[in-house]
Amino acid sequence: MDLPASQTPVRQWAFYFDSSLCSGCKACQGACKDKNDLEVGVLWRRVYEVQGGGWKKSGSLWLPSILSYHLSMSCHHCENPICAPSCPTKAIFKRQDGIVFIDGSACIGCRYCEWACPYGAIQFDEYTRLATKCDFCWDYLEQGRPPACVAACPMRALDFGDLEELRKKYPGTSDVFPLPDTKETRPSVIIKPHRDAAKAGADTAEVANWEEI
Amino acid sequence: MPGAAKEWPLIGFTLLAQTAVGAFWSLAAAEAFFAGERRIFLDRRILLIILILGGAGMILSLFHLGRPLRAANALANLRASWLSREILSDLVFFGGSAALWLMATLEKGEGTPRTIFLVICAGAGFVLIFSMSRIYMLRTVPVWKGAHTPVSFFLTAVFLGPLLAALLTPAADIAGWAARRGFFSLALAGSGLILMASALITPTVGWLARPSATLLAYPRTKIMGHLAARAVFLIAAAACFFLVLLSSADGSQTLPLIVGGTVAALASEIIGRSLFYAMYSRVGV
Repeated sequence: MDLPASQTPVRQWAFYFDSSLCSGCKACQGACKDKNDLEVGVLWRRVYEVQGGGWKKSGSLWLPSILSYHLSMSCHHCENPICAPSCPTKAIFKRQDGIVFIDGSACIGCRYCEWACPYGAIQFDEYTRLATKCDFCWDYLEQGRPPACVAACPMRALDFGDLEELRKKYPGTSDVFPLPDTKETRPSVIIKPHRDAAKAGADTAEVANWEEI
Repeated sequence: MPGAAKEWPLIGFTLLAQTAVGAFWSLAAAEAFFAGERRIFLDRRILLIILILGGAGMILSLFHLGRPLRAANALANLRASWLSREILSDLVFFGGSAALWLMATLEKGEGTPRTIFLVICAGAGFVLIFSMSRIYMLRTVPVWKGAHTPVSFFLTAVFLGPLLAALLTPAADIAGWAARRGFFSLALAGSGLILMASALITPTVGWLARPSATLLAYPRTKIMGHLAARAVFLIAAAACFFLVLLSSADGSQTLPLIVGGTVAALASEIIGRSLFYAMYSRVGV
């Protein structure tokens, strides 16, 4: 997305998520809903339960061969947010601190951004009839506090910071099944994959909790 | 009807807009074809019907919005959003048609001004259908990102459009009679083209319906069932239009065929467009 000179990014806020630590407790999800007063059905942060596998025959024995891990995902505040050009009202824009923001006063609730986002980050609020999503708790950041989800994680699986600094701090990737190819979106998220993630693919695993998210 | 019931405002809006544009094109083409006879096909009455259908489509589209009262904001992002471009071209098409209607009512502006407005409306209609299809051709939605999206939208215009033109054109004089036959022939050709397009797409449905395997895609068996039902309606419509063309031009004998063909054509297009929305499935989560 082309930005006017005045909006040239000064930094890029980003999340870090350690999938190998996450127990799937969803405290992040709950803290987010609480802090942002989200309606039922609206999840700015979602925990995907990725599962797969089954029984495998080994000689005369049937042994369980399963994979299971969690992905806690919010908006990834992409460097190239696909949602933005789909918005007819210019309500979606990237702030100077890299946060992708929806201006609720301009949004008409047409939901085209929801169709476009491959992370399910855009959440339509049936009560206000507007598109909503994670705003990185920008008000907390201004007060020097961490985002609600990061502060709530009992496993310390979530962290946040400037994207470049996070990259120095944590080795990781943004390509984990079932997340989409990152080439076009360039999401501001670093993930340490669970060891099972190497075995997961479209034919071997699926998201097991669609009804929750 | 496929599982896209909640998208009824968009099903109605896209079908009505494409039909209105297709009818406009057909009638304008007939005027150009019969230019020597100075026959007006887009007369006051027909323009009013096109305006009513186009306007009904625009009103329906408002029901898709969470905040319909802010609809004017949709024009804000012409630089990047195909939705903004769609709305602008729809307004130009509607406004131009309204101007033509006003000119016809006041009996003013015949000749060059009328021709200019005809060209503007026909062009805006093309931009409208093109923009409409581009809205859905998202990089993250493989089921929609392909030539089949604009092809199906334009085919609706050249199927339902001439059909509407045929229904509106009285066969009172030689030109009207000939144009009416031409419109029915176009509708017949349109149904054949749509049938061919769905036959070509059918083998790829499995691939289309499974872009990511992660998001719950519309079940393949259901897709095939709806395509089959649509084919039956298309063949029924085509048969009706064929028989209309075979029989004498006396409207009274062909009325049941015309009504039957129209109902079958509408049913096939509603099923087709509902299926289009039902098949939404994106990459990722």
